[in-house]
Amino acid sequence: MINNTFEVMAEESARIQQKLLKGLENVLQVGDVETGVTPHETVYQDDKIKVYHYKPTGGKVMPAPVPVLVVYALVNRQYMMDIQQDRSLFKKLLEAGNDLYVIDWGYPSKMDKYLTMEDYILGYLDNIVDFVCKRTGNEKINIMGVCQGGTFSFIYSALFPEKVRNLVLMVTPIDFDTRDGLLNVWSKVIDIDLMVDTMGNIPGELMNFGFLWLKPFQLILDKYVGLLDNMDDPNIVQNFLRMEKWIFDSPDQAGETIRKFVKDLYQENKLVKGEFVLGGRRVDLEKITMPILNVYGEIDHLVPPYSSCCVEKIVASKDVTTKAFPLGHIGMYVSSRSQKDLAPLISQWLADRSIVPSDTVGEVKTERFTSHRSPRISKGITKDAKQKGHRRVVGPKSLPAS
Amino acid sequence: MEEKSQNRIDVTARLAEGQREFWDNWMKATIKGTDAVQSMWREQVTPDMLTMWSQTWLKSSIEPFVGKEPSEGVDGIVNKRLTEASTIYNNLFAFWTKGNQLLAQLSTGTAPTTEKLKEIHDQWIKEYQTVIGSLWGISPSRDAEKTARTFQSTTTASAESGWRFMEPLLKNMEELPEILTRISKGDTGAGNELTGLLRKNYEATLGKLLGAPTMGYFREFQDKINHTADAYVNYNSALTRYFVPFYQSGMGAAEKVFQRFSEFNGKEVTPETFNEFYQFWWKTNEDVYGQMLGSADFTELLGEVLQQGLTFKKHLDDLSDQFMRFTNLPTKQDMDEIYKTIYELKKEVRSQKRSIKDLEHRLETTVARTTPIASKRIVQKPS
Repeated sequence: MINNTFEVMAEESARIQQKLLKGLENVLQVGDVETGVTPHETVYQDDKIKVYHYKPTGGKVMPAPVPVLVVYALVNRQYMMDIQQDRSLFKKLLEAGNDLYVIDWGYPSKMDKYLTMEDYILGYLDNIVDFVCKRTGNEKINIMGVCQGGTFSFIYSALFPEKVRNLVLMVTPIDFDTRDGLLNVWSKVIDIDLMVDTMGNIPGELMNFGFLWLKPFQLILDKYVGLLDNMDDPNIVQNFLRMEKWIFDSPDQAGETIRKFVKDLYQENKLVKGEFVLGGRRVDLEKITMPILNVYGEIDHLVPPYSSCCVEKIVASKDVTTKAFPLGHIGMYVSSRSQKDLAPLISQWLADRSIVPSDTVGEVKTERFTSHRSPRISKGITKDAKQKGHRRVVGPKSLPAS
Repeated sequence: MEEKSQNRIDVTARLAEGQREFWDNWMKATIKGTDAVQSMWREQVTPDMLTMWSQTWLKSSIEPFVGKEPSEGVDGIVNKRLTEASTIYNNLFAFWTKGNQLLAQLSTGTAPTTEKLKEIHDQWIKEYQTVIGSLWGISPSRDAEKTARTFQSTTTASAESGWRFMEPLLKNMEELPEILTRISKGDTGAGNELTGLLRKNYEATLGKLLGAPTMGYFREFQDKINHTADAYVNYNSALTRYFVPFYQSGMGAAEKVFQRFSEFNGKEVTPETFNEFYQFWWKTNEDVYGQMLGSADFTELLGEVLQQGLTFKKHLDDLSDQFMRFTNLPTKQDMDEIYKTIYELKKEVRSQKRSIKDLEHRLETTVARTTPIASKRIVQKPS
């Protein structure tokens, strides 16, 4: 048996060495990995924030395309949802006929340490929504919020329900009072005031370090051991490197924003209690009346299911669809399950709620939103708005760049 | 001529007599010195032996020449200084020997108590003072001797202050051997106690010094240095406690893995079995560490480490800024002021832009509202 064991070990060792050599060759040849592969153009920029418009692929045509604005989190980069050709949620949504706009929050520098949540939600996000509305000629648009971006979108929808037609939430933390996730547990003991006063912006490297320690052995060790077994396949190496690039591509967090986010949400859970105030305005969840699609992962270690699944209980909306997938946080974007089931679910759900009924044209006409005017500043509908009427769009249209 | 011859005979006789006396005294001195040594040799050897021997030999050697009573005046002083000078080396040797004897009291197999150490310390200081005191006999003047003796009294006070600084440290270290023994036996809680002990020592000694108020021209700068050093110690102390649960979890996981490993005993070793073992190994560690990372104890330690680490960084940044002020480069504070100003200016510009757009729109609306009326009036004007 001893001889047999040595023979087996020797064979295995030789096999691994061959794999490693081939893998090394693949790694050296792979070059710079591409991410964010679906064609898009920059249509808006404000400071470091950009908005990309993803060009329709000419697939299924929707009768009245209400654009979808994707609001990603600040803690990572949005190209995760477009990481590679065969794992792109954006591509699937485009193929289903959606008109997609995506926010790129950029990389905050030290100069941005004073940016607040008000600046992000009441400033940047509101301006972007106004821009998309104006560009597409819509009074309201669909918003798809992902993770922390979902929390922002949720808050925005409560403050500006008149601008949001449908709200899609993906793996979005709403109720932070749970011990199911390590982030929720650890955030209770973090002196965020001291952290922000000392560091200013919270470095992306620090955030990464914390995320790695949520599952240390899997993320620091097993992931790479798994790669060893498949290093001889160049496609697997490329896919791995794309994911690796995204995982460690974490922007710094603007100090004042993360201060409020951790204090008011993670530590004091003010949002679900109805005590969350933004820009002097209390975020009243009863104002959320638009249809909501709430999607979350059942094995999500970053945003535990408890944190996401409370939405239907706390909003006034009568049309709330909650859907759980047996996936983790990242799996929601890149798994084959998400490609097969999630994208069609979102597209169909939006399509069912984005068509403007013909007998409500008159109403829509009176609700027509004209540019330059923010509902916060003035009320009432101008004659101009009534005269212009609502354009009923059939088929995809190309809009002039603003 | 006879007188001259008689004089030459007298001088020669006196010289011979003097030589004969010197030789007699020399013999007496040598015999007395030898007797003294031989008598001492028969007794028990003690550290003072050399001192006693040299003093005895000196006395017995010089006495025949100068008599029992040393003369007064310059002769007496010089004689005294010559004889006392040679005793310095004897005193130093005696001090060294006694010091070794005192230290020998420490190695009795058990850790000495603070009281025992104080006793040894006091004895040593006393011997030291004796040695120093013996030096003053060769001072060039009485004033110099007085100054030297005043200095000697201050060294006594310094020694006492030094002891007061060390005493709490030594008192706390009495627990050290027991803690080290428990650590070697695998008691992981003892690790925590060790860091706590070091922390106690720090707070009783250097910590007090660093926390004391500073004075003088460089008061603020010194304050920053002291606070940074204190913060660093606190951070290290917290970090040491922080790693204890990692060690404990590692040991716990290793135990589980070992139990499972024993199940592989006798089985054929293949890549599949090794893979199975590896999967079990990392998943077991993941579970154990996962539980530890979510526990209340670890969370508290995490909060403590972050708190101390950030406090240390804050002080270090302040200190760095202080150094930067010596150069021509902008400090962190300067840059923060600039960033804040830029941020507020941008916000103001956005607000103004929004207001301008709103005013433009109102203007457009007003114009649009008034224009049809104006046209109507024009149309209805009589021709």
